[in-house]
Amino acid sequence: MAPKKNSAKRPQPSTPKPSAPARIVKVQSSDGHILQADVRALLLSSTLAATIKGYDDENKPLEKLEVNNVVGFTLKLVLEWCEKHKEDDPAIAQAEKDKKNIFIPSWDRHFLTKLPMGNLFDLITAAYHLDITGLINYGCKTVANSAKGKSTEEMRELFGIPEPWEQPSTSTATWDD
Amino acid sequence: MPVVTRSISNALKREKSKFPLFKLPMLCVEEILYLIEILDLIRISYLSKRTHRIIKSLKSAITDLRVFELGEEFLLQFYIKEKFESVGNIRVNNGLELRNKKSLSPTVVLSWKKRVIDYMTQLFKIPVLILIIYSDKISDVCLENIIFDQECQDLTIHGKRPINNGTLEKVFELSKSKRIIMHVPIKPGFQLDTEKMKGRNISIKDGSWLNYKRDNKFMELCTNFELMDDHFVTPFRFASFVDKWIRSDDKHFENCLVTWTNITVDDVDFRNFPFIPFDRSQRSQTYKYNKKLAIDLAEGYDILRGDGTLATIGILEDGFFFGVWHNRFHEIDGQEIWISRKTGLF
Repeated sequence: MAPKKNSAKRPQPSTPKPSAPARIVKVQSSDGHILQADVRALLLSSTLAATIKGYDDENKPLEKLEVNNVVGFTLKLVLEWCEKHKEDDPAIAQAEKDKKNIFIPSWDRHFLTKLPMGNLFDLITAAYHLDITGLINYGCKTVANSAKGKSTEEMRELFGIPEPWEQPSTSTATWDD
Repeated sequence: MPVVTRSISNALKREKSKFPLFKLPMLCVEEILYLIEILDLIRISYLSKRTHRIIKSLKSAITDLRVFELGEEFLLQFYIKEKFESVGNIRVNNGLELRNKKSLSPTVVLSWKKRVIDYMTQLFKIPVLILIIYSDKISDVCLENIIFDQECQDLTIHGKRPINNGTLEKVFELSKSKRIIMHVPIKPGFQLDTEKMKGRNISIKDGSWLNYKRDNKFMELCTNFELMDDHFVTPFRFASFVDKWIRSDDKHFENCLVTWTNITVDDVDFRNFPFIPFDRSQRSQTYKYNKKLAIDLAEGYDILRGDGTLATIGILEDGFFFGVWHNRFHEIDGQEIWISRKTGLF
């Protein structure tokens, strides 16, 4: 079968490197859930990558990573996303960072839009704490898309911004006042 | 399911459908607001003072606001740097999202429009680049008020209805725009105050209203002018204007474009002009006239003035172009190119 041509618009993962045997480590969430992940997936998080590098530099065996600010349910979502993207070139996510038109690949679109908005909120917060650029990009773009064409009242409801009379006295003004 | 359990479950579902944007880390909030479309961003901006303040503090990609004044309503177009396509349009009708649906006096509508435009320019920290007024849809008084109220870099007036002379004087008096484009019939007898043209770029579609009382000062005072079907600036007067420029030490004039539909340009004599051959090391081949148009002057006629200022005359299909090379090398970025031709006039 002929190889598929790359689309100009769509960011493509880099050519997979010759697969090394997967190095699996345990990851513990803030509420004590223990999950397992491939180290290559965890390296998408700059925060975890620094910790892993610390262990490797000191030749210490890495048995368990503790992620203190992400709960089990959200951590599972984060690891699922990282597993899917573990072959990606980190330069792609960095290049997309300042773009106004971010293209969300279909797997990610499906993964992110099926989540209730509350879970998406937790996922973006976790991606921020773990410094996962690609997940932040796609998550933020999904939120931006969800606001498209909504009325003022729908926006207020979606983003949890109280009505002017419910806001503290210092922030009651809207355009009309 | 018991009623209490069901109501708790519904409340939980409602909570899960919310995205408490401003509880996110600030960098994520900024990223989301950067990615949100302009119209949605404007809606969010007036949800609260805080949202407004945050959006105002963002580095915006929007560089340019164009306002189309259509009488009862107006259209706002937002542009981002170096893109010629609008990235957001807002049609504003009798005051944006007025709660009060009663009919409003023109003064109130005008004040609303002013508030809306000010809101946009302040929110995105951008100037009004172009104000386009369709004069058939508004009264002369309203036209004066808009020009008085709204500062802009370029002012264009379109229409078929002639504008009163008094109103036209006010246009030049009140407007602070550097570039004024008049595409309206103007009543004969209008006395042009040439001083009000000083340093301006004037484009006039139909110059037949300009009579012989007007002197060459008009041409000398503008930095740029564009005249279409002007019966005052005939090919002979154009040649005389270039001759005057050669003899002067004028430093501000940039260029002019004069076109006619019913006058032949082939009977004017330029033979006494001190032309020099085109030298690629001295200037670029193409002159950038504006954002949309450039003139290819490979076949143009170069003049080197005594003080070293270089200028070129281009002969077009139906008129002349005369451009001074204050900057000898122009970069062309996507403009339509008109090509000047050789002629036996020289």
